[in-house]
Amino acid sequence: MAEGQPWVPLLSRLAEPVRVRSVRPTSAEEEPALIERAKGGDRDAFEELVRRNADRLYAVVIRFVADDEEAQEVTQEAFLRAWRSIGRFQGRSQFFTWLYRIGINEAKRRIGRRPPSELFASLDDDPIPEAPDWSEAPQLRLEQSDLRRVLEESIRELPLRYRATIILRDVEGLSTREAAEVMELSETAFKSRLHRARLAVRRSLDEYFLEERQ
Amino acid sequence: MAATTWRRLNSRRDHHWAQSRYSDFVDGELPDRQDDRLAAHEELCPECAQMIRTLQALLQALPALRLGPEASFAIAEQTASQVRARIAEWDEDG
Repeated sequence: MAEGQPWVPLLSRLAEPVRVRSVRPTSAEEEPALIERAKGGDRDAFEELVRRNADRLYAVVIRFVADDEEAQEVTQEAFLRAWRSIGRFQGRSQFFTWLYRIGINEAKRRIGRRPPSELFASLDDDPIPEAPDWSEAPQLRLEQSDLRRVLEESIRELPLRYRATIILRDVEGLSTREAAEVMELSETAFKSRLHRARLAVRRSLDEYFLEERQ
Repeated sequence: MAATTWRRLNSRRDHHWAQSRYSDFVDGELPDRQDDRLAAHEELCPECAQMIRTLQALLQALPALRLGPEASFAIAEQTASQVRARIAEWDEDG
């Protein structure tokens, strides 16, 4: 385990390459109906919304905060804020994009209390000229936890304004429009940040495979 | 101007142009004409071709960082239980 990086053990949670969200039993009720009931103060309906969305929110938040405990606190706090303000949710965006926005803002609020050195990481996205072409490397199937660690670390090293773009779009699989909406950016501004974030993470794999070769 | 010189100049100009468009290209979000231009450049430029291949490989690998189903289930249950308890506390406090 890397010292000074208390989140590293959490990578064991990021286990299977294929996600199956439907393993838990959930109510068959449609989300808009649950939202309407929750707006009327129905706690059971809101609890079902929490069950359906907590993992997605946690998966984003964990990459902003220090550790599992803090990620759970932020996830919980985001849902409590959502409960207090669900009356103002007008359904113009999807429920989970609204939640992501609350969760990311809550995570940023906590990070904002930390020393500035943690907030202003650099973004190095120039390609390494001598790096090998690793596009066919078998490690990319992420069966090797080593490469998983490299990817997680390189995402966490991105400055905050870039980090969310790659998590939302490329890890969690939101569309460009949805992810831009979460970040309250135009699609053009979002794409520009996403491009730089991808290049920076790609560069970290250049470094990894260059070391592997040497 | 000889055809090969013209191609080389074009390729150098396109190389700079392509660098800010790799992401849109791999996402299939470039307008048709730009997409054709970048695809043509990719065939001539090994550096851009490698960049595009590795970006595509990265994008295929990243979804594997999502939570596994067991962790998803545990987090959903735990969060639901904690949130329910906190809301109940508020209600009791009036």
